[in-house]
Amino acid sequence: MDDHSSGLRYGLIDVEPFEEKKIVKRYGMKFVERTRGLRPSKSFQDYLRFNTEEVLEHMAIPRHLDRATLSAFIQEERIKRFESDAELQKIIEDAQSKSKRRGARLTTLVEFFLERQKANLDTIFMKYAEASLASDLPLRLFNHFADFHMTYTAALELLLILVRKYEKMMNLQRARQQSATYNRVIREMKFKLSPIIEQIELSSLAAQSSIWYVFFCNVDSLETISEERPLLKSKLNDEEFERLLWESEENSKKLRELVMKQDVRTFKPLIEESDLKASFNEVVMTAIG
Amino acid sequence: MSSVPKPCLFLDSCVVIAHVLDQQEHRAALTQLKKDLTKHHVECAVSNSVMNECNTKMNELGTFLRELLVSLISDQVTAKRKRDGRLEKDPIDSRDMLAIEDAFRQIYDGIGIASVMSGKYPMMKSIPDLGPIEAFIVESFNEASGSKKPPDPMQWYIQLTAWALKRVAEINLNLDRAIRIQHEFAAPCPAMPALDDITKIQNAGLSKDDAAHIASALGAQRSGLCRKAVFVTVDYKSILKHRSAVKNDPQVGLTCTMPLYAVHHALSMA
Repeated sequence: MDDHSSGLRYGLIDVEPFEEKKIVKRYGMKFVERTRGLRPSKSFQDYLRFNTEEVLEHMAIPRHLDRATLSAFIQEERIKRFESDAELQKIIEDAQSKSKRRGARLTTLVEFFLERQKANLDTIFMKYAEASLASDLPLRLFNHFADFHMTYTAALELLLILVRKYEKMMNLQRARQQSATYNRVIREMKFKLSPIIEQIELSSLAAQSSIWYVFFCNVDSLETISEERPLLKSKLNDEEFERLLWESEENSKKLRELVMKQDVRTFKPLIEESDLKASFNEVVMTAIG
Repeated sequence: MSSVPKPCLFLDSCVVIAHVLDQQEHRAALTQLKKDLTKHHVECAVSNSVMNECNTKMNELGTFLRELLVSLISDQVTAKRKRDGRLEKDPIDSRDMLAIEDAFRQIYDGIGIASVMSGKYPMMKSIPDLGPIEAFIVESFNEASGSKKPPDPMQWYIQLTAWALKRVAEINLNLDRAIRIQHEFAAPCPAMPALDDITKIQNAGLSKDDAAHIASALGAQRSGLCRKAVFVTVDYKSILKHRSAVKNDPQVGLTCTMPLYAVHHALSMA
């Protein structure tokens, strides 16, 4: 029900610069110590509530489910999952913390999402494979999700390169001492990151909508939601499914274009070179060449 | 494409696919073509019809894999396990391999054709050579059954499907790099084929799709998008077999050639 991009925008764009002044005594004299940094503008729980509403807004709700009840249910589940995810909580706390070095918080945040995405990739693909074998949904859907995750991982790699670059700039002596320079670096960073994060969010939102739509159409009631079931095309409204899938494909393609134009090296192979890979290429040539 | 018309190579979908798969059979010729393109600054393009064909083929690949894995193999393995009184959760072993052998033998012997014709495995009937497919399935089976903890059949299908999803995603990425987004190999050309040209090229013995690819190259040349167009293919059985007829038709007169000589055809005509 969740995806791993939740929090990227929360941590990277919805941030507000803050400045704190503290009087400290050193060598018997009083000094004004200034701390400058960035912190997210609302709580992560609020972000999850907002994001859930956004995804549901984007798709037609199956008739047999009540929108408000469904929304409340998903929000509760996502918040529960977040609150039991110690690693994510720690990262979010760090993002909100004032004590940690500015810039470093952002790098840690992106590193966390990238590492988590990489660690989860195998499980994600196994889940899609399992779902595709137990369903009559077009394989185009699963191929699209595979493309999306590959692109999303590359987009995170790109973000990390950029955030590291700006972290270095934020830590230069001049930026640490002059708030004007510091704010200019932040503005530049936001300017550079915004389109990528916007497109990550649009792609994630569209992918989430497609997945949720397929899933909730196949659920009889919220009470039986955790039961395993095949995902059937007959339970979907064809037009709505096509619309959601098309939007998701288009958004994912735009994200891929954006990432490729900036740094194509961010795309990494999903499987290692092997004899099996070479044999598979022969299969592909035989089937479609 | 640049504003001053230059000679241009138009790639067939089989050339694009051989490139994105880094196919060994055509690797040397394609490496030479890429060197020639850089050295002589000759442009390389793909028509809309080739682009669409590549996209369609990628979509078909998914359908084909599902037919192969879900229907053909799992049907046979499940049926044989039932006959042998074995449990679904038992790890795969040589007896399942024999079920796979039966599945392929049925197709070779024509028994499976009945299912093919009734629409159960529609993709299979269009595959000219099942050898590489059979070899891949056996290789994958051996890898899985030889692992420390061999999977049950369902786990094996899931592992194999997940692997195939990843590989198809990589191929899609290569296609984006090559022609769809980055145009590392060739850029899309908007020229439209003329219906008359398609018909004439079909009359030379080519299929409608192949005729549309060649007519698109001709359309680009006629509309001034390029000075001279050369069509590049590794389709020896069909297009290259009829290349003289296409070249010698006074109203078509387009050169179809293989990657090794393509740039030289373009330069000699320029």
